[in-house]
Amino acid sequence: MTFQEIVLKLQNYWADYGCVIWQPYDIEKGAGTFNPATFLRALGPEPWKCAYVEPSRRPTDGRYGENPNRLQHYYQFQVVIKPAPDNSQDIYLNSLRFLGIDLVKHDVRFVEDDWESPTLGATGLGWEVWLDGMEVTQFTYFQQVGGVELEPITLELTYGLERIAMFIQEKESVFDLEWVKGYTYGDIHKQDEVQFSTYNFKVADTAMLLQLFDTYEKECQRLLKEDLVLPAYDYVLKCSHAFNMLDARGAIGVTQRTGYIGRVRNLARRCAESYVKLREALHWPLLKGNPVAAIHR
Amino acid sequence: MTDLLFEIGAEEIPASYITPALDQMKVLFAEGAKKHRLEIHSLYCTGTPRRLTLFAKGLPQKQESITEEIQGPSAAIALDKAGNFTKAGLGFARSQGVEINNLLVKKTAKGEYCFAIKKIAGRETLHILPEILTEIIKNISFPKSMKWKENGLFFARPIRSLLVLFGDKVVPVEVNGIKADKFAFGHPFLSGKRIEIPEADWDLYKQLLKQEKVTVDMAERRGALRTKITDLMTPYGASIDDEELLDEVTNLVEYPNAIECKFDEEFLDIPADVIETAMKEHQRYFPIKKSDGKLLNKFITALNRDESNANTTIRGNERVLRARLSDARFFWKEDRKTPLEKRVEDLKNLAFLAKLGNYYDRTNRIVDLSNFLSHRLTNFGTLTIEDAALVKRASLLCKADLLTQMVGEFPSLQGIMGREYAEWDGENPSVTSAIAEHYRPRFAADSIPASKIGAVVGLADKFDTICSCFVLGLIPTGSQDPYSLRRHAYGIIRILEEYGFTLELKEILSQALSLLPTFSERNSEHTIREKIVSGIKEFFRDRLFQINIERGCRHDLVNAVLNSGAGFDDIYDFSQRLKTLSGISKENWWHDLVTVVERTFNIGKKASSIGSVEERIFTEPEERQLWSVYKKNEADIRKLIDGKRYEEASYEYYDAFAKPVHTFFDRVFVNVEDEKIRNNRLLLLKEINELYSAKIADLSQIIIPNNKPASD
Repeated sequence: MTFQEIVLKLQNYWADYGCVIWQPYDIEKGAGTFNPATFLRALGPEPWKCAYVEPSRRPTDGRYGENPNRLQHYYQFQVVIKPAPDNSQDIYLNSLRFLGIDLVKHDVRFVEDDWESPTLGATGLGWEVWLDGMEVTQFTYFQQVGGVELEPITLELTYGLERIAMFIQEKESVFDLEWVKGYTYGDIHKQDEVQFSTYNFKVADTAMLLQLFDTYEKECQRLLKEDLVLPAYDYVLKCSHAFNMLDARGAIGVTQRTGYIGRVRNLARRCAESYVKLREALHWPLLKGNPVAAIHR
Repeated sequence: MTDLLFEIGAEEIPASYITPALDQMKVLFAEGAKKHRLEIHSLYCTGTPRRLTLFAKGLPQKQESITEEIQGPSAAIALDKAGNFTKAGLGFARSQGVEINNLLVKKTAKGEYCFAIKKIAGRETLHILPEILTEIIKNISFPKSMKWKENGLFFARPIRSLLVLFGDKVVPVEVNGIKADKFAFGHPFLSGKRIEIPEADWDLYKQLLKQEKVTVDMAERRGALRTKITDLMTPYGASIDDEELLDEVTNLVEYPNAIECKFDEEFLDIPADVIETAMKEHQRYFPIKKSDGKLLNKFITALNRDESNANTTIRGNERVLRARLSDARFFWKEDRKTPLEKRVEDLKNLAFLAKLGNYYDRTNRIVDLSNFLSHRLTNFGTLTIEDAALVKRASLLCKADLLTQMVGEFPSLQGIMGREYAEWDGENPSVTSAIAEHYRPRFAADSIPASKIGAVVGLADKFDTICSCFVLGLIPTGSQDPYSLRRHAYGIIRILEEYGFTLELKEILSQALSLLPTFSERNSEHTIREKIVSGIKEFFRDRLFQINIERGCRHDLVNAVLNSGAGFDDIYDFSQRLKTLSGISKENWWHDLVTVVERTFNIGKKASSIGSVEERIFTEPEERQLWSVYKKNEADIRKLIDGKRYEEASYEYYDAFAKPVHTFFDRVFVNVEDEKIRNNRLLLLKEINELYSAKIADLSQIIIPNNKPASD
């Protein structure tokens, strides 16, 4: 099964489950959790089912395309379901079966994982799902997002697409994955890894990034005052990416790190609170007139 | 008699949570049963990652009926003169819901009172169990708990089923929308079935689960894994050397099994500690080491299933480890490009504790304090000048590996990577091992630094941590010790004891504190520092007490040594004295020795502190005799004490004083009218007492065998 077939299959599976098939959000981010379809939609009582591919950037993980497993840009397949269904594990395992993975033939494990995103003020409990020792998914019951306690609970599934593809295609290197017949993952992305690793680690203009961070932060605060929470949240993402870039450049000391993370978290928290207020003022449109309690069944 | 089977079926509970949860289940059930007057014959708890199971044998069908007596108004109010119940008496009966013939008048300490006798019929156990079991579910606590349903319960992971059978009846428990039934889940992948359990029968339950590929009993699972792993290791002359890993893996699987995998031999050029950490820490693999400790390019991973299609699983795990080792090799290559010495300055980027700067400052303090300790120890001849130079170098480099990529990826390799990189840089071997050793002991059973160099750097590191935390007020309380200061103190004590370093605690603390930045006004600085020193000394007193009690020492012996004049400022000396006393407390002269100190203490404490014994004031031959014994033996005993020959000193003291002190108290009346004579006698007794208790131990605190404190 090719890389793109895996993506298509997952989309079909979750579309059949009733998920909105969302699209990647057009701002750099470290993980699918940052997409407003997860971060903001997890808040409040409105039911939500959504799935999407998320290109994710982690500048510090770059290895110039020399490491067969580490990338500074990779793909996640993200699923969020609110409220978390009682058969969460079953529907997830069925998605693996749908990808043709015979769970009787492989060693499947749910390995404890206390998930936490300090920049997003988000926490959850769940597992890393291992297939024959390889982590292929993060399975998380969100408990808190943007510092807000969740009610009801959102289930988040994050598939590592390259990992699953390596597992299915039995490839040793991510660059050898077959994207589609005639093209490997390396054909498509290896050059990016070399270029961006060089840029992230050595060339990125730290003075500019430091300034951008401050500018983005100010803009976010200004938009929050204007009650424009959705555009404000865009600037949380921009701050977060600027911080990640500075981190990769080694421009932020350990002591300062905590400070920068705190600043992003503070913005994320304020966006979360504003978003809850916004939806509440709109009388939680996705409840579609159902009382909150009825939806919770 | 009926048995109870109670299984909480959950999504995978973290391995480390399981045993503590089972222990709590047991206690909570026992308490609940006791509270509800249900006797249990036996109680057993066991589990897997997906189930916590309790089996209680021999419960009654019903609670025992009991009779309660409820005190009401006094007889004077409840009865009239003719002995009939008054309105008040009748009202009491009504309020208690009993007939008049169940009212009774009884004498109490406060006079006669009216009592209502209430018969409470025993309830059906089946009806009581839901209360007890619901409480258990609600009250098991976990390091971290989660919510999975609105307004719902907190638990380690979502509960998905409840199997509750009392005999063959389902106990009607309902928690968080889950209703109890008689079904357990089989292995999620190998079975996937819901199995009906007909009745609360332990063997049947176990057997039915086993048919569905679940070994429910933890001990059995552990045993099966041990056998399997041992079988795989034996051909290589290897054996399991990590029981904790075995514990953990036992609670990661329901079907215990294991397979052998391998990795490319070329990775063996990475330090063995790195390979082992990469295997164990994230993947929970068992490394295979030959009997000489040499690592082979093989490992064992536990499986949660049988061996069919094992090849794909082996390949999968090998691929994962290869990726981790590739990364490790990348770090190993990159990190060595910068010599450790050059990394010291970078430690400015690594924060220590709020306000106390960074690891560069901390390194400087460790260097200074190590140097101070070296000086003291070279003065005593414990350390050579060459050693001191090595200490200096090791202390400078000891934290320099913290910002290497390898330690970033595997924090538990701190110190060990320092050693590896220092070796690469060509540092002196004593320096490289000291860098690795200075963190020891990292846990109670861990060894202390194997070299003096590592020991001195380790002391400086630990003292700096303790002093830093105390300055910031981060002092351990109760079960809270986030900076592991108790472990650090324990490390210091063991290093001093095992190396026999003679050092003065107070002096080291003052030195360590003087290296820290100050936060107080200049004029109050001195008092504040004095206060911190005495706070830390108290902390060490508690630690010394606790550690020695845990080693099995008698409380009174530990206290006697802690509270002697010599105290515990020199920790090594303290331990030597305690060891001596523990030994001689089994001798037949021990009791007499204690008596001398105790009797002279009780009376001697009344002596005015000024003045000295004057021979011309003596009036009785017994006191002259005692004084001459003192004069004759004092110098010898002091010499033995100064030479730290505590056992001989004790014996000599006993031998000299036991008889004359006894005779003295028999014949001489101390508290005479004449103040001069009285005081002279008291001073004599005080001298004798202090000769021992100031220097060795305050034996007046010893509890003698008839369980009576000697000083009473």
